Amino acid sequence: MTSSRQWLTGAARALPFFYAAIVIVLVWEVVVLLTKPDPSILPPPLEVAWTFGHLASDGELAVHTAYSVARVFSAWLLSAVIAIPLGLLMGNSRSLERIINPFVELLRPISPLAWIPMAILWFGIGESGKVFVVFIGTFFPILLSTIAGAKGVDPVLLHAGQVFGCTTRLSLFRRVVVPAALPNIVVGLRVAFGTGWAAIIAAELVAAHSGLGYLIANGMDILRADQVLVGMIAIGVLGFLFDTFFRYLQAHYGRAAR
Amino acid sequence: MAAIRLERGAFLYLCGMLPALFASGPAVAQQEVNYGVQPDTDPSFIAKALGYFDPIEKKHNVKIVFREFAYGAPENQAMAAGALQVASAGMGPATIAVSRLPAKLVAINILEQTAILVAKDSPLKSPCDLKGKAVAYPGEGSQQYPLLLKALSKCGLSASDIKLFKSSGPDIPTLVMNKSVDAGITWDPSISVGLASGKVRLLAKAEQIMPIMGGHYVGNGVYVRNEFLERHKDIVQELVTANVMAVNYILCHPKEAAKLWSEQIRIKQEIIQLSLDQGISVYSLNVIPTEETMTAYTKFLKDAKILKPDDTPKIDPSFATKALQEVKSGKTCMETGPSR
Repeated sequence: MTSSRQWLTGAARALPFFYAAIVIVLVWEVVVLLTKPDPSILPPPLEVAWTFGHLASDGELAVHTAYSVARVFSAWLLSAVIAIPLGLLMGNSRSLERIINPFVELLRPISPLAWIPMAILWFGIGESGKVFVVFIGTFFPILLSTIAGAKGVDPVLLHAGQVFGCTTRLSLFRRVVVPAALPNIVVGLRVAFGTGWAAIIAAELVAAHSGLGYLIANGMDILRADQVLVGMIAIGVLGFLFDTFFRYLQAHYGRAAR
Repeated sequence: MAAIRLERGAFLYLCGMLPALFASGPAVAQQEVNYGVQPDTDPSFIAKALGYFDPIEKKHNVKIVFREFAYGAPENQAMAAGALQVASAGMGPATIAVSRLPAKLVAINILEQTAILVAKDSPLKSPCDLKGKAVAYPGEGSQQYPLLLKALSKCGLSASDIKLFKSSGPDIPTLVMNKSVDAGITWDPSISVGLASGKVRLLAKAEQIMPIMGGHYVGNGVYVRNEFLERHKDIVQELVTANVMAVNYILCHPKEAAKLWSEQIRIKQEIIQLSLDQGISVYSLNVIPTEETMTAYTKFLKDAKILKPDDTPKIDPSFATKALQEVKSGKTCMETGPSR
């Protein structure tokens, strides 16, 4: 009974997205029917669906997607490994925050895309350059959310922790601060995955021979608007799926932290 | 309430604009012929410098405006958007355009124009030595990519046997010089700029990879949007004739042509002269895009998966045929052979 209710709730939540997708396709088809644009400018939805099917069936789409996801995931993981401990420490130590914060505030406004030329020069044409660009895009959202999470722990919780036996700073940090900061950390991880996803597409547009960004850039070069749109749809769908996953984690850890 | 009305008004305005945006189609200015070019040794620059376009402008009350593009892909995008009526680009982008856009190829105006470069002291001796090496190329939309694949396939290699690095054509000689890559394939005059530096050398010329027209590779084509071609056949004819006259001038007066190009595309005269002397860019009066040449070229692009199996390039050799007859009726420097 509970599982069928959960299923119905899930379906009801997904309904607006299906509705949005159907409206987009309908408007697209109507525009094509009314204006009859050249397919190199705006191909009909059916042609794009065919190209999508073709690229999916021959494995090309999966390969490009796998490259993009692997690059984002590795950079995001690297960012998380560095930014979460650093953010927790900065959120707990005013002096450490005073030392590191100026560096963060100076580097944070520089768009990951601006690092692309330097990434090529420093890391060459392999994977490390692209991972570096995504790392820049994912590091700061995780760091800032973690700092905010660590600094924003309710003093009542800290007091309760002390009352319940967390006598040292380390045990208070480990048993109260870290769990209380978790919802913020998950928000940071979610936001970072989104920025990383945007950064990898840009990095692959410039210097890559694989990935969804490359698929789009290549489609543009050879006047294949259908291929460009397939790349865009894949990015949109994957971005949505990842965001949904992180929203689920956020809700789960939010409840757990409470 | 007023805000809702305003929002609805803006929404309806946007809805109304959307079809108009797509329906606007080609932005053909009434008296402007937008001619896409790239800053290379294109005979169109010589035609312009020698005033071959002036009588066309006067006779038809039009202005021929050169629109410069760094490479073929954005030029094709401009043509797709209807911003160009005529374009001159490498044969790769030109063939892609006439396969996918409402446009026709009317002439082939440069031969060769592509080469694989390596550093002067590179141990590589032929394209077969490229296995496992990093090779810079200007993207899959360029003709350099399928040529590279062809060169590799002759040695039993494929794209997966090398490390491809996409870069802009003019940057490739620098990447080779700096040894950021082991080799690079690019177009002229970037090839000649690299050769003139003395720090790079040729690994293979296009004619060694794919001789397709008079023992040379076809380098550059001129293509025209269909609706412009249908409405202004006479202008198209005169533009093609002006191109063939320019080619004739290049064959008759290579030094003067190099000087004119230098002024037009802002590249040193000696570099352009080197290109002509070493046959990096080659010119021939035979600018007719024949069925035979285009069939072979289309197969080449289909093999490289640049064109889809059902893509068919649209060509109209009648303009180049007539232009060749008109120019031949005057004084020519060479019958049909290349410039060397």
